[in-house]
Formats: sequence, C-alpha cells, structure tokens
Amino acid sequence: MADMTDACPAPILSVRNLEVTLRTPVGDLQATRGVSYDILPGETFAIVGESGCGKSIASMALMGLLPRIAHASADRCRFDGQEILGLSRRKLSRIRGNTLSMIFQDPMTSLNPVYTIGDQLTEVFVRHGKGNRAQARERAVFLLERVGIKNASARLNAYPHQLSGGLRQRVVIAMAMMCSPKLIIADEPTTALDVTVQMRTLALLAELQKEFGLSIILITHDLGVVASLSDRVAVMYAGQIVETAPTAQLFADPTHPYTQGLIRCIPSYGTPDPDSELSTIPGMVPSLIGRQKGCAFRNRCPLAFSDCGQVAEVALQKTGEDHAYRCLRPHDSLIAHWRGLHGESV
Amino acid sequence: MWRYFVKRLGIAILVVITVSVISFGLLRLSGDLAQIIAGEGATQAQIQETRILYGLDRHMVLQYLDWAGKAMTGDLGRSLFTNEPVFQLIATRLPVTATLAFSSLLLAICVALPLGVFAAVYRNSWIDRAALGIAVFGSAVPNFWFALVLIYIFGVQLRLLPISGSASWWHFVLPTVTLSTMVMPQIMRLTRGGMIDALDSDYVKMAWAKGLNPGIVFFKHALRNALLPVVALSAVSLGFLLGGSVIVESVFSLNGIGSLAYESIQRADFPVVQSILFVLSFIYVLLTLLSDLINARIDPRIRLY
Repeated sequence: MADMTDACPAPILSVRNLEVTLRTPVGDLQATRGVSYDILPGETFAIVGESGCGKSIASMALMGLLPRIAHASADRCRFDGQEILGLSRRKLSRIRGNTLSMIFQDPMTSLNPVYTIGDQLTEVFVRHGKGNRAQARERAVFLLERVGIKNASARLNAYPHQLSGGLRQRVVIAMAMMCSPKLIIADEPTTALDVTVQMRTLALLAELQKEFGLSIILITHDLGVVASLSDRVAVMYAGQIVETAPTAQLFADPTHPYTQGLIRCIPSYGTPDPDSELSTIPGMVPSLIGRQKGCAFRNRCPLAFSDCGQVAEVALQKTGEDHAYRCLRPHDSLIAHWRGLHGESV
Repeated sequence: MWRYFVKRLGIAILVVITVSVISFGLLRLSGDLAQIIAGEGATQAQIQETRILYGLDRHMVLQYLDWAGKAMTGDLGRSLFTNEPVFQLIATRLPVTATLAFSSLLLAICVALPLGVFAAVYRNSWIDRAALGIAVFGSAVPNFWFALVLIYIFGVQLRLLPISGSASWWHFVLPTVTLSTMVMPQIMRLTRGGMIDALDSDYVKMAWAKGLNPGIVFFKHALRNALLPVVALSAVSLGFLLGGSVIVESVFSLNGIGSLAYESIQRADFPVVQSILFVLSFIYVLLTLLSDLINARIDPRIRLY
C-alpha cells in the first residue's frame, strides 16, 4: 500500500472527470460520469461493480478501444506524463502494449487461433522496438517460465487450442508483460477461469507486480478478488464512483449503502444459520439514457429519503485520508446502519 | 497434417468413384442407347447389332467396370459423331474453359477480397454501400446481357477489344470480366461478413491493445480468420465456372468444354457427355481437396479432424 504521507510519488495514471457517452438509437447513454482517480506506481487499484456500471468502458477509453458509437472526454487523463485521451491512433499505438498493456477477460477468445503462441508473444516485442526476433523469443521463454508454464521453448510453437484455459490466461499475462509495462489493465482476468485456477492466477499477478513494480487496474465484479489482490478500491454504480477507499478500510467500514449491499452479498462459510438466504440487492440498475438527476442508487437504497431524488448531483464526500463516498447521509449514520445490520459483531 | 491429408484424399477418391457411377448410370437411364446410336429409321435387327457392337448387351456392372478401367488409363472411348478419341476432344477444349475459369476467379478474388475488407473496415460508409451496390448488380444482371453490353461498348463502339474467338490473351478479357461478375458478389460478401466477425473478436481487440499497426491488425490478425469460408467458396465457384460457362462461351464464340458439352448433348454423343461430366467432377473434387488443404494450412484447428 502506498504511503501517502511520507513521500507522495507522482501517479502513473491520473484521471479527472472521465465521461464516456454512447450514442444509441434511443438516445445518448452516459456510460461513465465524472470518474476520477489516481494510480500510484506499484499499486493495484480495483474497480468493482455490477455489469453495465461502466467499469470496463472507462478502461477501454484509456486504451483507445472504445466502440465507434462511444465518445470519451475528460479534464485530465494523464498516463506516464502524457495526455492519452484524444491522442492520434499512431501515437497511441506506441503506448499500447508497450508501457500500457491489457489483460482481457476471456483467454479462450483473446488469443488468435491461427497463430502460434510464440508468434503472438514476440510480435508485440518486435513491434515496440525492444529487440529482434531472437531476443523476443528469449524474452517470451523467460516470461512463460515466469508465469509457470513448463517446457516454455517448446510451447512457443503451440497453437492456442492446444492449451487449457488456465494456461492460455498465463500466456495472455506473459504477453501483457512482454514490453515491461508500467501499468496493466486487467479486465476481469479470472472471470472466465475455473474457480480452482482463479486463485493461482491472482497470486501470479500479485507476484509479478511485486517483482516488476507494475501498477495494475483490476476490473472485477468479484469482491473476493478485490480483497485478495488490491491496495485500493473504487466501487462503481451506474457510471459513477460511489465509494473509494483503501481495500482493508472498505471491507471494515463500507460507507455507501451500495458498497454495504455488495459486501453483504458475499456468501461466507461462517454464517451461523446455514438456512439463511443469500443477500441480494433488490431492484435493477437504472437506465442511463438521458441526463440523470439525483442519486442513481436511490430506488434500491434502504436508506433513501426524499432529498435523494431532488438534488441535481450527489457530491463525493471525504471521510478520512483516502476514503470518499457519494451519499447525502452523514458518515456516522451510514456506519451505524452497517453496524446495525451486523449486530454487535463488527 | 499428413493424417488429415490422407483422410481427405480417401474421401475424395470415394467421391470420384460415386460420381463416376452416377454419371455412368444417368446416361444409361436416359433411354435405349442402342436405339439412339442406330438412328431413327433403324430396324430391330440393326438396333440389336448395334447393341452387341457397342457392348450394350452386357450387364451394367460389366459395362461400368470396362469403362472405368479404360478411363483410368486415359481412354475415354471415341465420339459417336466424329469418331475422334474423347480424350483428345476434351484435351483441346478444356484449356480454353480452364483459362477462362481461372482468370475469372482470379479477377473476382482480386476485386472482391480488398473490396470486402474495406467494406468491413469502413462498415456502413459509402465504400460499404458502393460495394453492396456492385454485389447486387453482379448477381442481378444476367451475364449474357452483360456480355452483350460489354461487346457493344468495348468491341463495337470503342473498338478496344476483340469480341470473339480465343486467338490471343486479349480475346479472353471480355469473357473473363463477364464471368467474374458471376462469382465476385458472393466472395465479396463472404469476405465482408468474415472480416466483420473477425474485427469484432477479442483477438483483434487484443491486437489493437498490443499497439500493432492497422495493416497488421487487418491483414494478419483479422483476414486470415475471415478467409476460411472464402477459400471454400472459391473452390466451389471455380468448379461452377468450369461447368457453367456455356452461355458466355457461346456469346464470345469460344470453343470451350461448355460448348462441347452442349453440342454433344444435342447429338446424343454419350461417351463425350459422360466423359465431360466425369472430368469436370474429377476437377471439382480435386479443387475441393485443394481448398481443404489450404484451409488446413490457414487454420491449425482444422488439422485435428
């Protein structure tokens, strides 16, 4: 965890007010609104939320991989000292795969089926002028061994379909590491994997991060993944960050009612009553088409009151050093609500 | 790869045998050959004599085996009409048709592939719509009419190109253009469809995320995946062009295999018809085999089957 008080290193990525709009036939859809965060060198920043909350599209905007109907704007979107939003395709392509790389969700589809692993690993290295083909192969073998693939030099000649899902995701991770990036965006890196492989893949990511000092943006809907890997978390709902906090603090003192709901939805082994039902958050994510007014979560919120629908916009409130939440209710009453849900146990 | 090849080859041989049986059988079923050969005014005795002379009195299976055995040595019998060896007849006519078919396919691919790729990359743009327009035009316009239009413009008005015969390469230009419009639309639309699928795929997103150049993303990562159905279709189209160029051949007075087949059917020259049928299907099977092998080269997953 980065220590903010001693020396505050310059963030590797600094995003302010990132807005992504999708032009749909039925109107403009605000996929993200006012998304702001800083990512420090060497830290893992998790963005968590339900599907459709804008967590993936916000990162796609950083990579310049938005679909054609999408438009992104931001007050600032500075990566490694350079403004990357609105950069020409040519300039952006020098950054992508080089200092900023990405791990996609589904290793079954993110490797090209008609080229060998070796070909796909080496091309990015050669593309970014890191060396010739022989050096690229050397690097690929080194990284494949590092991500735990045995017999790496023979595996270079394998095609994706000859590897299992877990191995393929290791290949994808190795591919993201080829040019020694400063930041990796991992979009649901374990969602498509078997549960047994998930933890090992996460552990691998954590190891690599320590070893090579990378920063990671971890996009996930799984709070378990967040807890095991990240330093800080942003919880997104309906295109907005509703709470951001250091991971330990988020789990200890979840402040926003949505965060509280999410945490309550994690099934645990220690439930006293085995017959108790799993928690869910009632209701549906609101439509994001057109301008939004008030708090987006109010229709599902147990603590909502009349003001929630009246205000134009709910502002982020700071509570403590690195903890902020987007709710009209004061911190005390929210924490009291959380403690109340859990009786005396918390 | 070898196992795959042997398997495909085995299937191809079986198909050739089946086709030969069918082509042999169909002609026997179309009427009493002895009567046709003997002519309209022949007596019963003459017909019987003819039947024995041509071996038509024997069992069908024997007749087939006899024909197939000879066919394997290249002896396809003689024409009933000109008494020339059928092999000779086909050998003089096939190159004209084959040249036409290959050049038409080549032209169609050269136009359709880039057009399909651009239409997919610039989806719903004016390029895409123009390509769609060309495709609709190509499949809707009857090729004999298109041939006449071309003859009128380039042969009669502009006097740029010869309009009949096969004396030089220039003679093949107009027929090639005509014939290529028959197969170009399908190849173009299939390329476009495959490219759109590929461009939306995760591995192409990955390729962009790796910072690769657009050329590499489009032509290395997307096109190779889009190509499989195009290769298969091209092989089928080539077979279609070989057998289906009769009309174009007659418009441009090319003495190809299409016109030979047409003449032979009219004359009831059954050894020739049967052999053309057989040779064309043989080539067709060969092309299919070839396309299977090309696809196995393109996509390693196919080699598993």
